[in-house]
Amino acid sequence: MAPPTSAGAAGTIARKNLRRGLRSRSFILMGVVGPLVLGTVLALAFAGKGPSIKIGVVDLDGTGVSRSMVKGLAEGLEGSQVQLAVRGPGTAAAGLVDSGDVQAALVIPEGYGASVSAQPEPLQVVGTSDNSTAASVAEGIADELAATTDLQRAVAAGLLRAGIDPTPTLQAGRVQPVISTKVEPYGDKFDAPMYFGPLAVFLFLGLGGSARLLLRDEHDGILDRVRAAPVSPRSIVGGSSGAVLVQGLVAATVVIVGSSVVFGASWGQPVEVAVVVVCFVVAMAGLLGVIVGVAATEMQAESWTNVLAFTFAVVGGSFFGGVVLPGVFGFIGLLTPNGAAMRALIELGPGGKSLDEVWYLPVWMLVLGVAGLLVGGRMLERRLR
Amino acid sequence: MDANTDAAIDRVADVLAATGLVRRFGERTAVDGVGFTVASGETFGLLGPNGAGKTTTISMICGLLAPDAGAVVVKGDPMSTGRCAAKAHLGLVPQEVALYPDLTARENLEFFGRLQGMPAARLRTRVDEVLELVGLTDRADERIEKYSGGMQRRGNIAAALLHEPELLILDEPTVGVDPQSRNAILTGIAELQSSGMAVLYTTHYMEEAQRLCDRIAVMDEGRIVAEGTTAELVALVGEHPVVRLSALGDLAALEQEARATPGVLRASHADGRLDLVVEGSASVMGTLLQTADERGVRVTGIEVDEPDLEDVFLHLTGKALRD
Repeated sequence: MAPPTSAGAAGTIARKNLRRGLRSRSFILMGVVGPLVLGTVLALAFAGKGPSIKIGVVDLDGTGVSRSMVKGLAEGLEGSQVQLAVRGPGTAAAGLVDSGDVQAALVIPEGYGASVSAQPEPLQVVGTSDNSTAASVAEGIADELAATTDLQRAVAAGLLRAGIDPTPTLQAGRVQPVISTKVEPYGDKFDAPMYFGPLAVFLFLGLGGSARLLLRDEHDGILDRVRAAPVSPRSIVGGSSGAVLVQGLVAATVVIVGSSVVFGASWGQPVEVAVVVVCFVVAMAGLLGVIVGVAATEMQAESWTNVLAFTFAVVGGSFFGGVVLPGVFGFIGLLTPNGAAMRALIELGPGGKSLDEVWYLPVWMLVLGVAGLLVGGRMLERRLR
Repeated sequence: MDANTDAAIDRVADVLAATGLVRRFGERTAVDGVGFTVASGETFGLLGPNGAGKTTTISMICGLLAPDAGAVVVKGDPMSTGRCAAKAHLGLVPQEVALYPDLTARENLEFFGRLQGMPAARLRTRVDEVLELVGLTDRADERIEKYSGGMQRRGNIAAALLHEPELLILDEPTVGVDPQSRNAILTGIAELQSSGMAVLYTTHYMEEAQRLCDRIAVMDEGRIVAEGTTAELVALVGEHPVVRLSALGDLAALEQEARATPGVLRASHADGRLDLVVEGSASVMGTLLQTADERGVRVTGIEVDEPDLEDVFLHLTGKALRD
């Protein structure tokens, strides 16, 4: 009887581990049910809402042009988390912000409407350092309005050149501001990361259990029987790693497809999402490979997995919809598989960027995963010899 | 290939040849120069107390542990810890039940059969045969975790027999097993001998070694201190049967008579019992009973204690086998 090939033995071990994984209630709870339930709860609680930003608009101009601009602005922001509070000429913008009535204010200066066909008065933004996000949003809106004013000037110039009075056109608001400023990560792309956040954490914990089967089998003496068969250590490690990868992909696919079909989550272009998810699962498997390779016991490996999972969850923003922490923490967050995958999925969400623009995120995860699999695999092989 | 391996390969007639095995764990030498051979159809026993080095020796023979010195050759193939041809010749029954508790007996057997490279059709047939052999056919599709301890032990043995190995290695397979299952296991192993399979059996139960093994190596502190058949080992240490007579009457006078009886080497009495170390218990017994009758001593019980491996071990090492 010829011994099995290395690939054949690895396949046999992987199939056996997958069978055991599918019978493991804890894996199904961790890998599939947990993310779906928690993702749904988080999505229902936060999706489309996000933090509300209230911006005051102080219209010192009070002309038909400025009123039409404010009206268009209000319509453009309808349904978003940015609320407008319009105040008349008698209001001091700084007082509004200081009192906390609004987080930032946009001032349309007096004579703005009259200057449309000439050199416009600059728009002013009043904000505080306590709320830089609101100030940024107000600045974004001001930039958009300035661009619109340029457009209005162009329209006015064209109408004047044709001998037509531009005032009715401008006052009727036929040239509307285009509001494109958004506060990431909230908005239309919010729900998919809400599912992926818990998935990342639970999957790491669930896959950790599968990866640790090798240590449990070693402790229980079953691994000795496997090693006494004509099977190489590489086949044993390869089969175990293969099972972890397949389990991770199956669980992720179930959560992504399930959340799309049942709860209507928007994930973006399927192939691009698949690339990110595959790279994420490889990264998870690699890190788990190192943990299992280094740990002396199953219990030790479990402790390290738990610590790492929750560290990644916090730093990578798994339970906060992928919110990136400020400064160096934001960069560290992107180095975690959770953070990198969530950022990639947010960027790739409906109406977002393409994979070409965020290629470095899946590539980083892939590098992390392959390096982990090689290092962890090597350590395990040496242990089995 | 070193001299040990060359020497082991030279013993091609043997299924297993182990020579000069040494294994150290830090400062401690667990196995120190162990060597023996097992021929086809032979059951060879490694007898020794816990910690004697039996399991370490087995681990080196199965390629689970690399020896610091020495070599193992199975059917002419050198053993190593990697993937090697030698491993295909052996079936291992580890000390603990080495089956996946969350898989059924059939799934476990199919898995281990595939690891041996068994073709699918042959594997299906063989799984049924082995399940029948160990009496688990009716519960083949139940998970191992639902089995009793005895059933798990039988499943543990079945997984090693599946691919019909030329060398079956059993590492204390009856530890913690109830008497009924233990007897069934020992009977099954005895039947394997008739099939021509070589069996290496480790135990610290001397009665198992005596019942099953053609030859026995007595191990203590990592070394083989004696090797041979049970009779050879007993003869080696010169032990004699002890006859214990429980009696009512003048035992002091009977002791004096016994000392003068040919075949009685030593005699002593205490608490209504006369202990006699004899040469050939059967021939001496008749004479002693007749003497007792003549002296008016009423014999109420006779106990003959034949020397066994326990005595051999005590003699060789100065300690009891169960220490």
